[in-house]
Amino acid sequence: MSPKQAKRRYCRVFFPSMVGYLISTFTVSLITKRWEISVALDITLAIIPALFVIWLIWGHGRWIFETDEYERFRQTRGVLIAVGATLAFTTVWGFMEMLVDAPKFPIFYIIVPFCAAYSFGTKFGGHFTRKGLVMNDEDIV
Amino acid sequence: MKNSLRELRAEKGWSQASLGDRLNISRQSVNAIETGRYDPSLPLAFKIARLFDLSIEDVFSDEEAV
Repeated sequence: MSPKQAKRRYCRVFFPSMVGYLISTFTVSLITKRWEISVALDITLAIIPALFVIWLIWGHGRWIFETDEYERFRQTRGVLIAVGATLAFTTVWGFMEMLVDAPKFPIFYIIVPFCAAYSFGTKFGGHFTRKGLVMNDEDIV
Repeated sequence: MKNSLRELRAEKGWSQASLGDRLNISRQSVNAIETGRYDPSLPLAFKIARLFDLSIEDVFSDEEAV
């Protein structure tokens, strides 16, 4: 599959999943605020917007596998940087919550710093990995 | 790793996008290889060499070995 075809396939997931997410988020919050509903229905409704996000994550993962090797390399590097940044952020914030009464960070919003770090890592990751972290022959003992 | 992809492409009169289409990779990937920002995998290096009817060593050279 060519990178263009892979991108087209990703777009066919990206746009409907985002539209579905927006519509379902507004609809679900409207329903739960206006009407008294059972706990079972509440749980079901709460999961619906998440399903659209999961669909998007699946589509993004599929695109990474289907695109060409350079793009896959960039995306993988971006994910690694984002995972490192997210773990660093949650560790620091966790200690701050425990020791200095920092406000509780809702786990739901962790996707925001993750995506920010992912974008940064994809765009600028080369500056960190090309030099410095690359092992030279002299480093191997 | 150094390579002569830009020169080989220019000889054929191909654009980066056109070479990308022939190799089934994006124009950005061709650019990254030409500028040395990305070293291709062995299968892609073979594909590039085959496209120009050359051996891998004719297209790519190891800077450290020189």
